[in-house]
Amino acid sequence: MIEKMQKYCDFSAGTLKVLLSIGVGVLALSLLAEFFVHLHPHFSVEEFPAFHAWYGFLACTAIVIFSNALGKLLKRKEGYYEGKKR
Amino acid sequence: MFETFTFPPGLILIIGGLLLPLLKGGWRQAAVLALPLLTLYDVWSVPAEDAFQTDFMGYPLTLIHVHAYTHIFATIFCIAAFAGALFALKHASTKELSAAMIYAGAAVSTTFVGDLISLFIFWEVMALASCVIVLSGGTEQARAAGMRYIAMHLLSGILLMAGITAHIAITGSDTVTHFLISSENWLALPDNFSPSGVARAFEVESLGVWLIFIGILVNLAAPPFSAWLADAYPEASPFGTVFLSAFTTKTAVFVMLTLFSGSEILIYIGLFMVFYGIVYAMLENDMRRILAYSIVNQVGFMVTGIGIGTEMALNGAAAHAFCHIIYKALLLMSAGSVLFMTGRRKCTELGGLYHSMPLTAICGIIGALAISAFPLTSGFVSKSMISDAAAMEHLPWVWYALAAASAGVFLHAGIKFPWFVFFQRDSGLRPTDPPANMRLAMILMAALCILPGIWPDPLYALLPQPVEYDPNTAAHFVTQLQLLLFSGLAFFALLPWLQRTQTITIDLDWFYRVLLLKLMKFIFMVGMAVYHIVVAAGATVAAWTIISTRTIATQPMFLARTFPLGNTALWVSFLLGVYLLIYYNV
Repeated sequence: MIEKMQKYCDFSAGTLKVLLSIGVGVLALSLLAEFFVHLHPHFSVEEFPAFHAWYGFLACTAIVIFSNALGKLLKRKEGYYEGKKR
Repeated sequence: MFETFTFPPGLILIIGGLLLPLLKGGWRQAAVLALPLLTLYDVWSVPAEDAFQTDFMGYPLTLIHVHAYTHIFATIFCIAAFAGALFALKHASTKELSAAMIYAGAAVSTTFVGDLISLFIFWEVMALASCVIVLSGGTEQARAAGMRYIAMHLLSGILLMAGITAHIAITGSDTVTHFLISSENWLALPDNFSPSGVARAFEVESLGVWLIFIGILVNLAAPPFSAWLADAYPEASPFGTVFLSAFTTKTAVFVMLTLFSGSEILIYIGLFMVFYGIVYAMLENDMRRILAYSIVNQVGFMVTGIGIGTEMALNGAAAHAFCHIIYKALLLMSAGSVLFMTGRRKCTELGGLYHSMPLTAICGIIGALAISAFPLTSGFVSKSMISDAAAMEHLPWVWYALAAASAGVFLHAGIKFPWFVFFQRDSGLRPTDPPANMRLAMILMAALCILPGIWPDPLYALLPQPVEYDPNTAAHFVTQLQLLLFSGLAFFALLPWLQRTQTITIDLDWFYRVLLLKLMKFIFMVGMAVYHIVVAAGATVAAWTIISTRTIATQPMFLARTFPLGNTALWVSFLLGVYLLIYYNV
């Protein structure tokens, strides 16, 4: 998994491991914090455990899927407009 | 008349900008920095009552009229002009700096006008000055984009002028007033005007108001006019884009806020803009075009707030415009520094720059956190005001959409921009941080991104209504951090899907950049064909006429024959003889 991740960045395997564990730690902390703070939900859906966490994750996933699908339809090679002139 | 110093603040920048080319070297640099500060001083020293009035064809023009949101917008325009000038000080051309000062001056003036005719005048000054900035990009693409840009903004000006003319013709008044586009009957009428008690939708009286509304929508980059922004702004110079990002759309926000607050249709327009900006930014490869799409996205939040129309929502929209101008300027300064130092603008050609441009990277990240409304930044304060206003008005779908959009902002601007420019795979480029004045401008803007986050009171003080809103509560921190951190998780989990390609994404401007061009070529071809057919037919007819005439002339028929001169003389003397006989016999 670490090797696969290294394809997308230039961190060494060690740095990546440290960053990964920090990331997981921060995510876990944000979830745990919910139990120590009194939340004031605006709507009933917000009373779901960790609503904001999964809502954010799902919203982003939906946006990525939707924009990639739209991209299939609307993406053109660079110079698409300039090419028309020549 | 002039008991106090009452000079329209915007005119200081406009006149200063016009005189700028006359100054030399150090004096010019000093003037560019002093003009926005002088204007800022004037903004806060003009009197609250109307001043600087004159007459135009019987209609009063008022250049100093303090509206509810004049101070906050005029203040941020001055700050943006100052920071932009500091950033551009050493390397921008005089023409560009001069245009930028006039552009900023027209924006400030717009916030102070008391009548619609003056509004139109400064609207047009802004269009022209900003077009000069786009053209100053200096490339062939900048020239073409500048022409498309000015065409769009002249269209906006024409719509606005036509609307204002219709409005004045109907009501006889040119004062800035409030309009409401009500969702019950889609009626657009000035508040103080109802010709026969209740007017129906799409009456001719509401035409002027609709035209003004659409004219403002063009400058807001609202659908279906969104494409001009991401088309033109990234073609300007690294300095020009910083100025461009601040004024045109936010002036339109101010005018929309002053004229059309509470018009429900704006909620839907705003939400569309929010998601349009995110989706197009996700697909984009050019780092400054990502940020340009994100302007449309952020203006969408403000437009939604204006549509909700409660005191809190309007305050939120104005505060968000204030914070947005700062963090977007900072983001574009960071991207501009990268472009200035490397000459590259595409995500696919950048990466790993944090090694050698640490300050630019840190400032870029601070701007990215602020735009994402990360706790303890300015965006957290202002964006929360808008979405909490939606919750208070019991508009659940608006609130869900804004929450999803906040996650999307973190995705496209908050992580995507810094990740692909400063981190990801190393491009091997090792440029240094930009020159001192550019670094200073970035540090100033970064400080202004964080300050309202930890101490929002000065920002609240700029708003017309007292604000009793504390964003910095533990509950708000936790929910926002969950939303953003798990959006971040989604970004890295889906990273293989987010790798950029060497592509552009077509938009509605395809219709006038490609379809209309093809249509014109087609019409030209048809015209040419008709022309050739007519010419050929004409030539045939002419040739036929000549040939037949010649045939007749050469035929030995009586009338067509040529007669000898002697015969003619004989006939003439015969006729004269007949005439004499008749004359003497009568």
